Amino acid sequence: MNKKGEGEQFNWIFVIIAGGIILGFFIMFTFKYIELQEKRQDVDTVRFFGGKVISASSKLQVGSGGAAVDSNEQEGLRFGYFVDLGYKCAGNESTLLINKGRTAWYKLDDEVVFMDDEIRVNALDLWILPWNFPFYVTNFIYLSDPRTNFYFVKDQSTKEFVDNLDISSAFKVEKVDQNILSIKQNSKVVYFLNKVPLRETIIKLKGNLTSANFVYINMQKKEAQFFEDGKWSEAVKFYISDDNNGHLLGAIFSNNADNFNCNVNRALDRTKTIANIYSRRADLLGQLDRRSECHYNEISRSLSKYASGELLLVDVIKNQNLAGAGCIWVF
Amino acid sequence: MGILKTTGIIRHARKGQLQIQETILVIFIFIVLIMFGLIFFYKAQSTSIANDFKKFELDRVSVDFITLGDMPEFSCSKAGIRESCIDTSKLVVFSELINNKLYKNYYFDRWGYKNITIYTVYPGKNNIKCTTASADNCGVWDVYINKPSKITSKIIRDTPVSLYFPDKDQYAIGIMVVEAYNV
Amino acid sequence: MFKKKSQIEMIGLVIVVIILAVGLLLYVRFAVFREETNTQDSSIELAYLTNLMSSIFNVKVCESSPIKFDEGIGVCFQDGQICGENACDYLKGQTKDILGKLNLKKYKNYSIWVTRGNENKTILAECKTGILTHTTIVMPDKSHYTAYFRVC
Repeated sequence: MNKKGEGEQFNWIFVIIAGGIILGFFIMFTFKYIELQEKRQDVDTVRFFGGKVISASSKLQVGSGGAAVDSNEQEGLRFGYFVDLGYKCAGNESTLLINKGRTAWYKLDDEVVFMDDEIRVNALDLWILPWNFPFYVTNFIYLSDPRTNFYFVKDQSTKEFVDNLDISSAFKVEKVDQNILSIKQNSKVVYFLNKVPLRETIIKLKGNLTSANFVYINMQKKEAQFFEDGKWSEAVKFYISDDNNGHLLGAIFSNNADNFNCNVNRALDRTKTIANIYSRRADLLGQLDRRSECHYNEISRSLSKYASGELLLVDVIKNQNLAGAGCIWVF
Repeated sequence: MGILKTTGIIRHARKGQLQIQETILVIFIFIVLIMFGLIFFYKAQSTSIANDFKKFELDRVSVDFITLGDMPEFSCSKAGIRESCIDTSKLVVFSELINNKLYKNYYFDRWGYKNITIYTVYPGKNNIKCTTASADNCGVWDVYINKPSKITSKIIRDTPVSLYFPDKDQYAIGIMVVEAYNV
Repeated sequence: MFKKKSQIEMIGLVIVVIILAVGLLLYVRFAVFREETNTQDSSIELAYLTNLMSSIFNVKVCESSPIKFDEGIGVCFQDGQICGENACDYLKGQTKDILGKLNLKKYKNYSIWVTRGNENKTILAECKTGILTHTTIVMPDKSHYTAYFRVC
């Protein structure tokens, strides 16, 4: 009789264990299935975003003012779900990461993308601007969370420059003086001042805000610094010409010194490669078109120096590329 | 009679137990089958997703090559404004520049093992290979030649391209052929 | 009798399991291994078509007074003449000549037409459906036209 009772107990234990295992399996499968669907969504995201948006944007022929896509417009960039977008640039390689790149990522070739290193969005504001330095190199692509408010902080010496700085209307920009600056969540503050703001000022301004980024731009030295990990980063040098401030705008849209520096270098490496081609092209044109008034040799020499790193020749080369008396345009 | 009745009851009870055990076994096997099915399903879906991504990357390479003419290394420009054509003088310069080791490595990182050749087809064909010396009268450009010694498979794609001759201010139509090799 | 009953039950069980297995296999075949619609191929097709259109539209026609094909499209819209002929008819002939020399195996029929506002002019009409691309033509007098190019 006692054994019968013990037998029944064992039976129940067996039932509980077996049932637990089976239930556990089905619960585990549910979570795995959710993970699976997220992976599939990542691949769809990279196919749409990387393949269609970024790739197409980099090849698009746009005017000097660029082309912007506001997420609120009918043709706006909307995913329909939240996605963790990341941007990583190191060495000469840059990659767009979808959900930390677990399943899908988009390796960039010529495309130069300026954006925060990590954002969680369900839509994006996009601006494409051709970078001519002085010849066309690539399209710069600026991406931003539509919720971001940009604050350009100016002082007396930079007031004129900041007021005339053209940013696409797709982005929410306020140009303010330092003493009346007040920020909220999802802010990007860009300082155009003579001196870099104190660390304590930024910490106080940031307060408890979790999503606020700070950039300092020194227009005299053409350098940018980013407030990361509670302090200002090292200054990153950038290059602008009279009519092209692509790098400057890139600093506004970035929040990471390493990524920004890497992007600047990638763009400049491409520029030097293309300058070399134009230099040799100018030599070839000199052989095909022997008119002395065309000065192909002169521009070829300038381009050759430019290709070896003398980037300050940008305006000189631009002025030399004036096809006169029926000469062929070098670029 | 009492003994027979008891025996009958015992037999029915055993029969019932047997039935229950049978049912339990059936359900257990059924569940095991479902579990195997779900595991197989998960593995199949994971593989399908990974293949989707690989296919996307492959298609991307195809699109990049069809739009090769848009690269600033090749595209026409006048007064800094790009046009939808390939500048033949840039093709000549590029095909000579690519012999430089630095540029060869740079473009190998981008393009890998491929042959990219352009042939003029309109208004007429010209089989002369283009170099700096023959730039004014030629019709074949070996833009990028990097064929490996051992090939497992290859893909060939071609696309029409607009060719511009800056010295003559003339346009022609060519076919760009890309052979991609797998090692 | 009991033996037959249990045998019948076993057969029933086997049938149920077989039906379930077949059902599962069909699901796997149609839900897991379904053929995805090939969205990337259309990008390649469109890029190819855009290249073809640019190639044709850049060509200069009429040796006596050369004019670019795309500018000729604008002249066609304005009912002008090229090489002493009606511009639209002239361009139609040139298109056929160019495509004949290109000898592309991929497509056999083409359509080209131009629009401006609500008006349109057809140069070649061989396709009602197919892949379509377009471009904006800016004439020397700064007027704009939209030229469409379709293949099938």
